[in-house]
Amino acid sequence: MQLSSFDILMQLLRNRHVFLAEIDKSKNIDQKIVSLLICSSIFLALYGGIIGSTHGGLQIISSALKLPALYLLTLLICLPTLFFMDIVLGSKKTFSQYLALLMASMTMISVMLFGFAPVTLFFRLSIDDYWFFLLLNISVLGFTGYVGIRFFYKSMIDLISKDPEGKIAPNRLKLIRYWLFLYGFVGSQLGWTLRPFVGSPDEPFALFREIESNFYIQVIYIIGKFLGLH
Amino acid sequence: MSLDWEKLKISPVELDRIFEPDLINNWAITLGRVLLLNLEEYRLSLFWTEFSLLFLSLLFFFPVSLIVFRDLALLNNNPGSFVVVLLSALSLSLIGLGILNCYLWQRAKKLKRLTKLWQKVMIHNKLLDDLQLLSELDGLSTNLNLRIKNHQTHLQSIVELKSVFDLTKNSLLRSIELEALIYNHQKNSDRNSFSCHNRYQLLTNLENNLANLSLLDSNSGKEYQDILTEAVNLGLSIHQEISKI
Repeated sequence: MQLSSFDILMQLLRNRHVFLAEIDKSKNIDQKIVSLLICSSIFLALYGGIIGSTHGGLQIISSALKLPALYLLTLLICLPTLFFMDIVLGSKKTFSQYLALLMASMTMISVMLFGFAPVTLFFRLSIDDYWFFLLLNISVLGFTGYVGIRFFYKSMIDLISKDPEGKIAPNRLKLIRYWLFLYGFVGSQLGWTLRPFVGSPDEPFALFREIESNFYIQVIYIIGKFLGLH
Repeated sequence: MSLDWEKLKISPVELDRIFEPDLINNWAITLGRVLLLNLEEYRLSLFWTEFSLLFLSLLFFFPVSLIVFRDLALLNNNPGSFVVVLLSALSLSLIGLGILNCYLWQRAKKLKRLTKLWQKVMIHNKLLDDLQLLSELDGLSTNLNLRIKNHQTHLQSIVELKSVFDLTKNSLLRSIELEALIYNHQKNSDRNSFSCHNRYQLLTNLENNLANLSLLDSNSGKEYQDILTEAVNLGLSIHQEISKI
């Protein structure tokens, strides 16, 4: 039976236990992956368009394409590490199951960003402070990312506990935690590499900026700028 | 006599038990419905599927093009470069989509009969919905004398209709089962000869039953007669499909 993409999204949001049980049984898993990919990409593109609107037409298109690409590339870069390391530690799950779970957490992130979109748009229209807007978006993306990662962690625990062995090996828990840290680290640095997402008002449109410094030093710099310390 | 028409419907669960198409087959079936069977109601679904696939491939190729062009020092940081990257990503996406559609077209041709049978399932279920509505409207009739007068003919109509829909449901399920078996084992010539025997058997049974049903003379109301006729015609069209195989 074919479900539409948004039916699968609704199932994830409203009937999480059934959704995760179906991933455990690998039921319609390829359809789930593609549907969640489509839904999350649309929501992320919408949010990307909003944050790019500070700099006009080309920045809107650029950010609308870059934001979903950021999440997808982070997933593609980090997923093989998780899969092969977990296999070495005794996992019986398939690659598709890991991918489906990660797509589900990416979809959760995108839905929350979609929920924050009116707030971001409000501040975009009512406040003319580039540094504040940048900090706001870093906070929103950070918060939604944390919730998405937490969802993935709990879902993985739930999935692993259904394995025939019954109990979860401590090493596998540690692996998942370290991997989540790696995922966040890679994602933030990739975001720095693919910038700009929010065009600077003092500079013309740029497809990319020179690779310099790193994301974390830049966040400290932005906080300092916002507080008027620079 | 009340009859639960829902039980005569073919549910998605029953269909999935026989043949559950994977994602690629689903796309191929959608393509087949529009291009092979000319079903207009699926055009929007096909459009959104193609658009979504194009969008996803663009999301993949855009950053890849950006990184490649940048590493090859082919980019200046200006709007013109953005257009170059976007166009190259779009071209790669369209080429990828074209290749995918060629593959889906080949699959759609192989799944054509299954697609037709699924359409007949939808027609079968739709007829039952109409019948259920008709039964409920009849039940609402407040003219007691008219209800007593219609009771006997009503019962006869229901029995006839039940026979037709039972036959159609079983024929459809058997046909889909057979077609799914053929599709899954298409390259095995021994199985094909086995499937030919099954087709012949199915065809013979269906032909005999439909011949008996078409001789029924119903005294029921016009609406029930119309649905009975449509149901028999549906059975005949299934018979035609199987005979083509």
